[in-house]
Amino acid sequence: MDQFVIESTKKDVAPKAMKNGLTRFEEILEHNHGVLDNILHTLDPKLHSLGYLFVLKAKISDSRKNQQSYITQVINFIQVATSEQIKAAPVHCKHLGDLLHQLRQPARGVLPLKHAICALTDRPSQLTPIHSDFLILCILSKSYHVAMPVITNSITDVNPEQTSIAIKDVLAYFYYAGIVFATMKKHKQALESFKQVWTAPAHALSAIAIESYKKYYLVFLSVHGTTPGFPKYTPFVVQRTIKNHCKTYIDFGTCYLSGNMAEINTKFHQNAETFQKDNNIGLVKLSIRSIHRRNIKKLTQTFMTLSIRDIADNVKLSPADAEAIVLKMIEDGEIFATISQKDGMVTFHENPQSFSGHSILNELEQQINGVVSLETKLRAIDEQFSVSTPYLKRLLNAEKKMSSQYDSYF
Amino acid sequence: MNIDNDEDMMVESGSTTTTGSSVQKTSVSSNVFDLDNYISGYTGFTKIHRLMFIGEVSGDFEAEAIDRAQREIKSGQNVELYGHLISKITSLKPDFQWVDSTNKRNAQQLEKLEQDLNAAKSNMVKDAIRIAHNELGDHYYRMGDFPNALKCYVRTRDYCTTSKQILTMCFNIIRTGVDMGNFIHVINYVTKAEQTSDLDQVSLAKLRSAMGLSNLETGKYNMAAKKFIEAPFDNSGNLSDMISPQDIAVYGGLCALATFDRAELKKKVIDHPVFRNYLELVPEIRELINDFYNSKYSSCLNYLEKLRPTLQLDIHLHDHIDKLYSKIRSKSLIQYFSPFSSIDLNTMAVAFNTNVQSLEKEISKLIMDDSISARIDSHNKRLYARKTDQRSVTFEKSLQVGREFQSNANDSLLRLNMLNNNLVTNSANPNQRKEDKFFDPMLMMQMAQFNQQHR
Repeated sequence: MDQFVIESTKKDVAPKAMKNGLTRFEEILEHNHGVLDNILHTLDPKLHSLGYLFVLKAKISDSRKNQQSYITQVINFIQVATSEQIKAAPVHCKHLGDLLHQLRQPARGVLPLKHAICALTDRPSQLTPIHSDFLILCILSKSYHVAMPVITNSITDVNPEQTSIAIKDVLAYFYYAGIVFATMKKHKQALESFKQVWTAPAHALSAIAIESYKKYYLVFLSVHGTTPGFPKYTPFVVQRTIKNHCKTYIDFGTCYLSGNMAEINTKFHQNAETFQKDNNIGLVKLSIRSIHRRNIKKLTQTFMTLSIRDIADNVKLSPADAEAIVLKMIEDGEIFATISQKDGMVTFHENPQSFSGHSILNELEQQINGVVSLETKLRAIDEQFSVSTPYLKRLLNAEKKMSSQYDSYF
Repeated sequence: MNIDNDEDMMVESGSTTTTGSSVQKTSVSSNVFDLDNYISGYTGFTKIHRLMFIGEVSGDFEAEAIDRAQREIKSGQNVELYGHLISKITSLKPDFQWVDSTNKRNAQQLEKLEQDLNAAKSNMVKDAIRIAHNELGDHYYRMGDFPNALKCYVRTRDYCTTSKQILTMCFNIIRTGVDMGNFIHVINYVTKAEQTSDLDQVSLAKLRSAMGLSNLETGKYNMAAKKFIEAPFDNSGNLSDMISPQDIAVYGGLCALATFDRAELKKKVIDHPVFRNYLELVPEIRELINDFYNSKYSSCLNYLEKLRPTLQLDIHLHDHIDKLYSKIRSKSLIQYFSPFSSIDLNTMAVAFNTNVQSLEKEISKLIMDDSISARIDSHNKRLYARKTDQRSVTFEKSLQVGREFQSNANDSLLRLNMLNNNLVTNSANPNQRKEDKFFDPMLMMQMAQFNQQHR
């Protein structure tokens, strides 16, 4: 035990080397649960982060530990730990998340985990297993706004060697990100996230992919009013089999396309139980409500003025309901219109956005910067590939094949 | 075809002018339809078929049409059709004597022809076999047994030596196909016949109208119009077992009106040297096409409405008339509005013989499917053309394209990274072969995609 303390308090050792030194103590630590708290007291979480981390990890398997104090220890550790040191070892916070969930205090873990994500990633585009743990806590504690800055970063890097991330973590991350986006009514982004799950490379169908496809399907219906197709990079196995697992949804979608309100409602009531079971009933209701919104939106493109009664006739609602929807849509910035209470007329305007001024310039600049950085990344990858041995080998083989074919003609 | 009777009506009422407007007055009541004149344009099976169709559709002409159909059938050998007619119209007294004798005669004839065929086959004379097959086919055709007739005609194919014989075969099959309503055969054999050399004008007319007819039946109105217009003029009744020249004018004219744009209409229909001859046969169609071209929509639509009852008696047009009419109507609405930036709906309603409410509905439907770029001011009953601000549109579009590109590129980068690190959903089956990560086909695909995007 003392050996472990000496090893972990050594100064001027590269984190990588220290990790290798400490790994052999793992088993001993796990067999001596009683002394772990003492070790923690002797170690300083800031200076000896790596050793501290190993002890905390060993405590996971201790079923008799004081949960409250453990949580405090972990949270405290996350806040002060030196990121260079803990980056050397893969960190999992699943246990913390589970504990907080058990104790029904998910909110306690949100901020520390956010901190951990910042400490553990080199770039915001990197994904770690903690991401999905963080999102679960955000969803459980309903603190979606905290998750927003994290999930709006576009993720492109995964590095299993550094973070020991697994496919399940990736899929779970995008699934939860989709849920957060959908809850925050950012439907387009929710679609993107859900799509990531079922278009991820696969040789088999995963349950996460199926669930996210169900949610994707419903959100797609409410955003676009049609049923989605598969992009061409979708894994073959998903294209072929996923629909068999979502029959109820596909049925609902076909019925939705017909536009017959009565039929859609009966379909909805018939399958309400399934939707409820999948926790998708809100999305189904949303998609049904979106029919009216879409119809009204169409009217705005057709008419300049139209009475509330005509609108109600057109979308088959009562005038009061129609007025409420129109009002809500104006508030949401979906349509641009004014309602005159005097004669019950609605005047639709064109989009007042004139595309001049600071905001649009900023937006443009942001996008251009985004594209430029993407371009750099792409170039780097292209270079990396074009000098990689396997690629060159393959190219050579192909050339040989070509020339041998060519020879055989003569 | 309907024109014949209208002109007859004019003569009867002592009218001397032959302009469209006078025709309009004499035939205001709907069912002014001269069956005699109409049906005399046809011969063969199509005549019976048309008569029976009229019997089915029209209440006024039911009795007369059925009676004529019965007479026509009895002059032929088609027992099956007779039975069909009898079973449908209970008031008719079946003529069993005729049925029996015809059946007997048919059987005898069939036996004789089959003997001929066998004899020809044993003699191995190609031409004789062809003729025997042909005659057998003709016999089946007369009896109304189209599938067998078709079989016989198709069999002659191996024995055809000259292009003329091939043409005969094609025509036989086309005729049978049209009568059966099997237009896939018709299209196939028209194409085949068109490949033979030295086609004369009559054959060309036949082929084109057969093709037009099949396109009309399958709802390809644009093609149908083109084919009918390409048909060389022929007024000598050579096509009477399929179509009358008046039909060509009506079918072609209506299809062209529904699908051609203004320039095409002028060039290919109104000024077309050959099709004009057809249009002369049916002045109403000619007038309404001219009216459409000259933007006199009210009069054009009036003509159309007056033609509707008679056209509904037509066996081929019956199913398509509503579709064609609505197409023509929306086209005229679009064309009417095209030069304006704003227009009073009341004026427009007068021009189209309708009221403002229904006009508003029609126009809103057209706007919703993007046929007219305009917006309706329902309060003041005006229609305003939509002015698109190209600058905003460009901004919106480029921003969207940029966003899409970024998200697509990001997504593919992530997938690429996942593949590269072997982060792939795998089944739990441990026996699955682990592929060399760089030769993973999916990875290669993505790499190729990248290189494309990059360049």
